[in-house]
Amino acid sequence: MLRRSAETTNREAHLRAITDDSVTSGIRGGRQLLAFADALVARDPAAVTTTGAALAGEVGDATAARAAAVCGNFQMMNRILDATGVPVPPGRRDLVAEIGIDPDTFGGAHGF
Amino acid sequence: MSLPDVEAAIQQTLLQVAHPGTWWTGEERVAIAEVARAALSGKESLPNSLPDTAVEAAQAVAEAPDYITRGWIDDLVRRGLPRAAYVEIIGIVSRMSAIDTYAHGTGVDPFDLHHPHDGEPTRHAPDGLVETAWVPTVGQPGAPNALTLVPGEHRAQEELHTVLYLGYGEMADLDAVKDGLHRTEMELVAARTSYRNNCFY
Repeated sequence: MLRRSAETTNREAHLRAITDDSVTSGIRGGRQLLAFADALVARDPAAVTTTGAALAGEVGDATAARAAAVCGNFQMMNRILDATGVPVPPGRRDLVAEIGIDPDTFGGAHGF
Repeated sequence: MSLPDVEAAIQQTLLQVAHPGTWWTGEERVAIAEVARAALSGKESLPNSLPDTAVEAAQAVAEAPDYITRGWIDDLVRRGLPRAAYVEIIGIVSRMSAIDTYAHGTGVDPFDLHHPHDGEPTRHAPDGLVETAWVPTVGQPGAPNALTLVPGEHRAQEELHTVLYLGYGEMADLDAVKDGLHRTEMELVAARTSYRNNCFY
């Protein structure tokens, strides 16, 4: 969806930035969005405060709050999909190399 | 700051959690939410009246969903936890994860759980189930219908998903903007969250 949204709206988006911090996503506030998501998933209070303030400084308070909501949504969906064993759609496997994921180690007990 | 539409949806979710569900009473559902919240914050669960299998399931979904396997679920079932009751636990725990993540990210206090409502679970199972995933679903399994074995959990998940992110029907809009966050930016957050959760879906 990231690639499709960027292509459809003529925006830059480097997918490898999802897994590689040395790559710039090209997305507005990308570095701050990534750091905020990392802090929320890690449930690190100090990092959430720091990265949330940095993100709000870049995109504004309401947009940062929406980013927290989106992260929350995927915390929910990741748990639902992992816990129910819904199969990974076959087309997603093509993204592995592009994103930089090792299919032999990624996905916990699910893998490919 | 917190967003009014999200706050309203969270209160609706917490009210729904406190009501009797399909397989668990309101008291049991609130206890499941408390177990989830403790696990998500790295704390010990308070004593409760839930079966050990329910506590184990709630903790696993909260803490390490990427290490759940079909065999582990089958073992829970053998030990007395109905598969549909397990799905109801997934629904409650996953929504608590969303709610607590949002509160944490916006700097508001954790949202209080509601007092449990009296009543009995409906124990209603839907028709037309397909056995492709590790739990039955209505139709071929995917993100939108993963919880359809328990229709109330399916609806509650969809309602929260719509407010936090986008409705399933809105997901075709690749130029959507919510509170200044463009769809491409939403997807960057979504992808990174999934990556950090070790989830490839």
